[in-house]
Amino acid sequence: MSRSTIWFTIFGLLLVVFFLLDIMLGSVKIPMDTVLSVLSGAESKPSWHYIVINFRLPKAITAILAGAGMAVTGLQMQTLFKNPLADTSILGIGNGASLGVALFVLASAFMPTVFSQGSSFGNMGIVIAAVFGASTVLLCVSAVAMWLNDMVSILIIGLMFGFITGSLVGILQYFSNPDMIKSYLLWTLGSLSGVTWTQMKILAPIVISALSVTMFFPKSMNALLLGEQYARSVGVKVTTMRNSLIGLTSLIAGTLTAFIGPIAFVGIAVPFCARLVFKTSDHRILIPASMLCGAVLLLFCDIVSQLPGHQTTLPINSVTALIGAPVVVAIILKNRRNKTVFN
Amino acid sequence: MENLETVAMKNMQIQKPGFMDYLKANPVLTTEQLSIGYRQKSNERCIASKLDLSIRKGELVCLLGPNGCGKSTLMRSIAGLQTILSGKISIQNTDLQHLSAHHRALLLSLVLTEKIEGGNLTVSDIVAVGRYPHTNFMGTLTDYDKKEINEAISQCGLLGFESKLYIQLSDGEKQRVMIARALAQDTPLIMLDEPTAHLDLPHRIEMMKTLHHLAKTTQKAILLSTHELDLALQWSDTLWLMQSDGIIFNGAPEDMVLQGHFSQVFGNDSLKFDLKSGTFKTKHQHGTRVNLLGSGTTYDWTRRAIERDGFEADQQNASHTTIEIVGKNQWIYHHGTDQTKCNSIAEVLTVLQFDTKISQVIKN
Repeated sequence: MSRSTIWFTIFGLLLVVFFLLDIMLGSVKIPMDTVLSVLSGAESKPSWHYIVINFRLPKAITAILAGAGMAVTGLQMQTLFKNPLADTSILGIGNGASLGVALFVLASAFMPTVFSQGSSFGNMGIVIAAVFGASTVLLCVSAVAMWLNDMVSILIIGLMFGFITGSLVGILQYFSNPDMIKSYLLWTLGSLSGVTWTQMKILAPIVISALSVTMFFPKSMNALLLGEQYARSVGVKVTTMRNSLIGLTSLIAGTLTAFIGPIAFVGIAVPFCARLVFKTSDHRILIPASMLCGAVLLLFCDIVSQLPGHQTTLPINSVTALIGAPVVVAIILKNRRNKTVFN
Repeated sequence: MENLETVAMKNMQIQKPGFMDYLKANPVLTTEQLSIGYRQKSNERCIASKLDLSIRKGELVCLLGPNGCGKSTLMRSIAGLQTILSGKISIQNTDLQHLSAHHRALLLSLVLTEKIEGGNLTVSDIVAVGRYPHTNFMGTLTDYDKKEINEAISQCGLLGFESKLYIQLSDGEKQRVMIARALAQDTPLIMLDEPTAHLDLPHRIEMMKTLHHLAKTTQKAILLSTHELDLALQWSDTLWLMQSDGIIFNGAPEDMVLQGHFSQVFGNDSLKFDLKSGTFKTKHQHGTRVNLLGSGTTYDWTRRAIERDGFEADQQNASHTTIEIVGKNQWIYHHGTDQTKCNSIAEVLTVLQFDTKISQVIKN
């Protein structure tokens, strides 16, 4: 058995175990056999049945979608920008989405009838606003990227876009009422549990179809690892491919950010772990591997955030950052060796 | 005797009337009235014009020229990385200009100087990228693709390196991996941009030898740009000598030397192309003459040393100063009636410089 088959099996099993644990654990502990019987459609205690179906199950599915989605967008950004530290949040895409959402939330303060939150139009509105904000920033950053062709400048410009959107959000908050600020703030802390089945009907199809389209890109992404010139020389239409990847990335990142808030670090940490564990740069393996690892990681973070035995829940964003940040430090420490002057 | 016979047979073949026509009739690459340069709005800057060049199967062509003469522009234009001003470039009778990226990738492959990051890529991963124009949208490698990859790896002397990480290889090995990648792409033309740039001298020679050998065994046309005059002279089948004004002389390297194009393109007031050694030498304009007596290797190296210091070696006994080679690592320095024994060239040079300085002081 090859290395990748073994690891795919291990992560596949972990996914199933964490999925069940995530449903099982929480403020109310539900026994494993009940979870299994509810999932298989059998009769069980009505209150547990209600909790599993309406709270735990959509949350676990959201964790899987978000983990897989954020991991893949991170991988795409890293290949596109040829930098292991690139991801949607560093390039200001998360901030773009935040700005979109902030604008939308503020607008709903002025026109409550049109933008009332909770209605399906309100949900859709947040999604559209987040996707729009994310893709605007991503397009700006990638336009600069095409023009400058220099990684450090691009990352700095991504950060600057982040500052600009951040300060715009700040201005918006300054003029908003406390309720609006609180609902925006809660959104930025991130939450997997906010997704209801109605919202899932929007979230799941968008993310799943975008992730499926991603599966068509491993060949050109592999070629891109050798640099744009080499990729062109083997017949890859680099510009078309770059634009499609940017489009897919902002769709996935924008949608996820809209529903669950800006999830940090999964995009950087997961592809790095996938490369380390699967010991390959082949995107035919890396893309599914990142999806799997991302889903496992976010399920794990969600289990941790429930603080087993306690009634409180930590914001998911804090947990992913707590686990993700040390990984980023590890990347830098590991790369230091490869980036000396005379090599 | 058999050898002589085969040589005679070959000569007969070359003298066959149709032979030259045959060579010209089957070029891999041809350019017709090609003009290259840069176009910005209505402003045109022409680097070179009316280029009629061609490369045959199995031919190794080196593009040589002084810095800034437009070598890179020509290479980029042929590779389709930059638009041409006018004319036509074709590979195996296919016009390159309006070709899709995919079709172009089936006709020409590139080896660039730009360093690649590597990451977790192994040698065979990188060579496999060469097969991309031939594979389906997922990049699945068929048995034939794998065979081609292995062949390219073995042709570049990389057997046993397949699963090594690219970033762990030496510069010479990295360059060979990129050449194997181009070979795996299986195109009639391979273009290399300064393939010897990062290599030390033995590896540079090795690289040119490999490329020459590959051209002969695979019958692919190879075009490379280089700054290595001596290597290009030694290993290329044809030289394209590009002058600063964009004019290109082409022909066998030896013809280029004998017809004086080498000194024309590269020579200047202080550099002179030495026909005998095939290298450039600095012209020492007002060299002080020194008698140098002796012969053999020691003579040649002693001469080099004193020429570097601005002296001119002479055997005419016209000078007051004489350096006599008396044995292995033994020189006698005569100046007027003075004699000094020297045991190394460094000593000879020291004495020579010291005496010259003293004479200048006395003169003044």
